[in-house]
Amino acid sequence: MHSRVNQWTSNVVEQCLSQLAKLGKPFKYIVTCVIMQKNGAGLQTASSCFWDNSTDGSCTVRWENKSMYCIVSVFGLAL
Amino acid sequence: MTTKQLPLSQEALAQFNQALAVESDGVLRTRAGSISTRRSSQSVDLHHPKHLLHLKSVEGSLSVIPSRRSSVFSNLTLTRKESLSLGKRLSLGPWMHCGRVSFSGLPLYQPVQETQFENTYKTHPDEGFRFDACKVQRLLEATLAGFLSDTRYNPVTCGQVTQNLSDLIRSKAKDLNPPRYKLVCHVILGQLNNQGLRVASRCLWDLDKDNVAIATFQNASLFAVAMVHGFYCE
Repeated sequence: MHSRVNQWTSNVVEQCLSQLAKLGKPFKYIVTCVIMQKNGAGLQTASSCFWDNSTDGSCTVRWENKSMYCIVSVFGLAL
Repeated sequence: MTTKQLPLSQEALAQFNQALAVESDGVLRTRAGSISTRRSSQSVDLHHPKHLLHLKSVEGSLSVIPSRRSSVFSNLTLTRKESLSLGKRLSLGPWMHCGRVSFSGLPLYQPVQETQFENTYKTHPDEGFRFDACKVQRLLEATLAGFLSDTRYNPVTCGQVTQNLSDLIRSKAKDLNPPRYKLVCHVILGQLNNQGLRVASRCLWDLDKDNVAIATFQNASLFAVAMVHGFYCE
């Protein structure tokens, strides 16, 4: 299982980024994916940005199944 | 709606004052300062100190009109001669143009004008003004070590700790930030419990202008990952 996690995180970010690029909008993107095994441990994420509030933004999605958590964050900065 | 001030030349002012003296009831009232069709003019009323309202100008250039007298009939175009007199009749016509006074006589404030900057036509950062990933990485390592070295993971408080750390890193990175660069700081903080964790990140950016700095930290009870992305903004 541990060996496949590398592949999963890579796949998730690559596919997210390619879908975003397909939108064809004039944005630069940052996609971050965190996969954590469910073990009773706690996890916190926070982000702070210096950008233009009217044109830039971010989005975070949480997903889980029986054995792991997955958090994907996307930041979009306008050109 | 253009809001340009039209300053009058000295000759025009003199002519206007003369015309006023002839057509009013003989009282010479000089107008000092500029008169614009949109904004109220500055009138120094020597003979008739009676006035209706004090208006504070909320324009961008506040130094132009410090105090106002007789605002009602100073917001006029030059054609309304009867209202240039002491002004018992308050007609509605001229006020509609300028919008400075409402029908009830209460002042209406204009929004502050924002300065418009000209285009610089720059598409590349200047030499020596790129996002320095090494410096930012050293900064991240120092900040994480300083902030978290004696912290234990606490599920109640660590959420706030993570946010504070993220804001701190952003403010410190802003000092090192070259101009025209946008920053994205992302902090991940977790409890050490023998679990497996993987963080992956990918960006769609401009390879020669944009960069990222990443640092990690670990102590007995927690770990932290900090990422700072610097993006050039055209």
